[in-house]
Amino acid sequence: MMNSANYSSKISAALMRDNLKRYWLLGVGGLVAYLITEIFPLITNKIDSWYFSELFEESYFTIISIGTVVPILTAFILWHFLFSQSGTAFVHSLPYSRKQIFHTNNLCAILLIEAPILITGALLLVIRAAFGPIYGGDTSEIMAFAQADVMPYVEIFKWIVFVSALNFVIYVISLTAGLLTGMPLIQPIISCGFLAIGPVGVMIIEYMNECMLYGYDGHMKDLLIQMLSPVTTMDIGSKNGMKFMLIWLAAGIVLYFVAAFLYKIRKLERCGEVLVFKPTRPIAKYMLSLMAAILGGLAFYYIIGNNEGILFVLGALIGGLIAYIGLDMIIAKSVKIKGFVKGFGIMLAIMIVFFGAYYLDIFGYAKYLPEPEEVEGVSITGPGLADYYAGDDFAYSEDGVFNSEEETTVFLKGEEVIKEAILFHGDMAATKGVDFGKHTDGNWMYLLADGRVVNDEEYTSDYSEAVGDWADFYGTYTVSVEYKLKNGKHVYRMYNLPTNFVDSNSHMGKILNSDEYKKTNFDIVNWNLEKMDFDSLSFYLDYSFYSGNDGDSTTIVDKAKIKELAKAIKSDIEGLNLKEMVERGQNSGLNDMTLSFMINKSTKNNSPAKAVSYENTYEYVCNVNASYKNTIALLKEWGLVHIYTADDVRLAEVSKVEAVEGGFVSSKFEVTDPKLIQTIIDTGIDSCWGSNSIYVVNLYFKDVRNDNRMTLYYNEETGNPFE
Amino acid sequence: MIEIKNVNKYFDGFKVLDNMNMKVEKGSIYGLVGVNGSGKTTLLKHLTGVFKPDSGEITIEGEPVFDNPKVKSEVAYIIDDLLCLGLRNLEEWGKYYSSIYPQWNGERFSELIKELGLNPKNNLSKFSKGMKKQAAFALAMSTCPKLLVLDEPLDGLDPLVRRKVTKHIVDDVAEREMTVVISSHNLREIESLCDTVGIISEGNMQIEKEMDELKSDVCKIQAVFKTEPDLSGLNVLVREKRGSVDLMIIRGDIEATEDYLRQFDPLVLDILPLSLEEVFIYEAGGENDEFSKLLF
Repeated sequence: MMNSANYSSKISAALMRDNLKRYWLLGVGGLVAYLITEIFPLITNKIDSWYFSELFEESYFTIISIGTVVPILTAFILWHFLFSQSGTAFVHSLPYSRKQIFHTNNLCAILLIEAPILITGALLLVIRAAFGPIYGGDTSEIMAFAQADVMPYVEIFKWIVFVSALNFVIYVISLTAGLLTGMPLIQPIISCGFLAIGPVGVMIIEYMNECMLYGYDGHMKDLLIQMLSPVTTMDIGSKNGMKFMLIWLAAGIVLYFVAAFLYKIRKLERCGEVLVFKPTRPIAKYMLSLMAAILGGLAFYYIIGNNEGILFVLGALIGGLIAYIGLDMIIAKSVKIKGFVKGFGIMLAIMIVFFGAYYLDIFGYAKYLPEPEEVEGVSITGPGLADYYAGDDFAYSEDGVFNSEEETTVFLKGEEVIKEAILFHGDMAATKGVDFGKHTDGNWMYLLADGRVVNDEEYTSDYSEAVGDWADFYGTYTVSVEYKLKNGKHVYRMYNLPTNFVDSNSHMGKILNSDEYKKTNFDIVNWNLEKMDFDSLSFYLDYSFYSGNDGDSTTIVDKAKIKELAKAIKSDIEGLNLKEMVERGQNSGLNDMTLSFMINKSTKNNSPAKAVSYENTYEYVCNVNASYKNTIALLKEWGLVHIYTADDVRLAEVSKVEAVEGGFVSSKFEVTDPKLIQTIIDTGIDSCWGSNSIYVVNLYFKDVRNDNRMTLYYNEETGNPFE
Repeated sequence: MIEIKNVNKYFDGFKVLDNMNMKVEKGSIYGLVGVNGSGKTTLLKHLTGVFKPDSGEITIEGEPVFDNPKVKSEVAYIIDDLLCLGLRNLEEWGKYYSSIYPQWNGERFSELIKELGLNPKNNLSKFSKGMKKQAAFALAMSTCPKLLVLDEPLDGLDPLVRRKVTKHIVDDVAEREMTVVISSHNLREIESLCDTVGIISEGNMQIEKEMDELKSDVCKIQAVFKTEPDLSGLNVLVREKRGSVDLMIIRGDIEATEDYLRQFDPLVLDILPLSLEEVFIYEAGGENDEFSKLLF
């Protein structure tokens, strides 16, 4: 049998035939796995509600698992000859060029990996074409989605592209890993290492940043983790998932040529070595040792160290040392360590530079404040801030369409507000060095970033000017700042601050009282009512203070009345000041009432900036509380709400609870004085925590409701009206 | 046919081939000898295109061998590990080789494995070391190579099979002008097969000569002289007196040496042939030299 070989071709038909003959089982294995994962549920009517949101969402982790194991295994098997002296010598003595071996083996591998995906995809298309739209199985439970097509063509094509790309990329990564090593065991380890190093590195750096960068907010973490590995691209249905996978596909193609180059220059005599390319050895050794040093430092700092900075250093040294020695031994395949002093000296220098750069904040991360002229808008969020003006606290996209996937950020604009916001940010950044972590469990992260450990006295002396009496301080909460710069970039910072920080800050007060803040946060202030058309207005009546006519909700369809009410709300918002808003949050009597304006879409030019969009209408939700005097007065005048007064109360029962050694004692008495009852209604608070002595007041109303009792409290801070 | 010019090769800074030069004529059988670690196998892997030299050049009939499938299709390399590709039996190997070697001779392959008593359908993992070697030999010979590269070819074979293998090699050299390069520690094997010998030490070619020339250059003399002869005109490598008998190893032309010694009117003058082993020992400067390690 003679053979007419084409030596100049990049593909050897003989090698291809031989590979396919020997390794066809890999392809069959992959096909069976995909059929079980994607086709089996279809043909056995296993589709249930989870298929509705995303057709392949439920099988995502199976797909990722198959897409990781099969390519790594395929790369290992196709290239296993590189890991034995006799195998590598023999294969390279055969009449193939390296180019032929490389391209033929890879073509074969890609065929074995991709063919099952394409076959499964084709079957899905055939099923879709044969049976038309496929709906969920258990419609009795999921009526709302019963008409959804769970397997549209576009989803099938997306699946084919995504899974094919994922498998190709992981194969090329495994191929490259195999070319970097001469040992069979190391190939899957490096492959998995390549897949994990991005997300793991981000998480480690994230912890480092949280630990050492004051103001770090970590908002990019999830996105970076999603970006930096093909196995974490995650949701294939999402815009980012497919986008990242296509970027990975491009990177995989580039990596393929890198692998071709590596194979070309690979010295076959290095078979059997852990890393065959010498330059990769120090990179692997020092990079992994540094990661171990960071992990060691963080572990000691968080777990053992009681947040002591010195333990971070000790942990980093121990982690770095163990990793360096271990990696040196593994790479050299020897228990003897050559040049330890020099090698670990370099390691130490790297650690000093790395950790030093963080500790000294050489890039000025913690100090950074943008110039006002650079900023297009600024957003400040934090617990309590939204309550001050509980306006648009729904998730809307900027184009006014409700979007559950994206949270909307409201940016304050206007020169003065931006200046005040930067000054407020400066005040927050200036808290660097203050040990809030001593006082709350959730604030351990900034100890190293603070740069020192301080006690309460130091805190008071340093900080009393900014936040007032230390005694006011009961805990911390998180305040985030986001700048939208004119160059399109965003800057994020996050601080854990005492709960009274925002209340006490003059810059924040100016922001909250500014028209700009109100215009930005309360779209109703911007409405041109003359040009708007409303379908209806409905609102929920809070049982505790507001009483409607017959039920819990009321709907107004009189367009004139709706406009009048909108005007009242506008005037209330424009007239409110910070103090009223702050106090509002402390009193149960100021509970919100949620008003829903249904705005006719025919008035397009005057549609609200932020609202839920329906077919013919926009829904704008506006929260109103008892501070909205004009609004409440109007509603009262129309007989739509009733605010409880002492006249409505049939019984006021007070329990005094006092902390004594070993427990609490309580005593009970009734209040009958209408003046005192009215005072209770006006000044009681709806909850209190951590007090040693409290009064609990149960008010029983005359009208019959589902629950005609309301409970209010007094403690040391509120004082009590009973003595 | 084969020319290796100034080839250097380093393994992690260690020089394995040091300015290596070698020339093998077409149709010759070249024996490569050297101690363990002298660079023989490395040299063979260069010859078969597996390793790329760091510097210098290796050509077969004027063409570089590295990464040159055309040249490699005419080179057969006998491997130790027939399981490295995952092919199960000789039948599969035969099919595989037939698809990649243009000169593959299936009939010859069948004849060879029959002659060697190998079953083409038997699983290779059940073959003994010797059987695997025979199988590899049958495969290599059936590619009808222009160059056959053998690393310890007869190691582990019984005498009968050795003879068969040797016969086939010699026949191919005679009939097809096949060139053979053999690396072996067994100098008797080299002596019986090779017409040219190269001795490697520390990655460098120390001696490269035709076998006859190598042997004719050194002779062993056993003589009895009436009076002490003046040997200053000869290159005496070793002289040892056993009673009245002089035993001498002399480098130089045998006839000229004999003529020179005859002028001292010896009572006995015997010129004895040297084995390759002895030649190596004496050429290399005595039994203490590293070449003696080849023999003992």
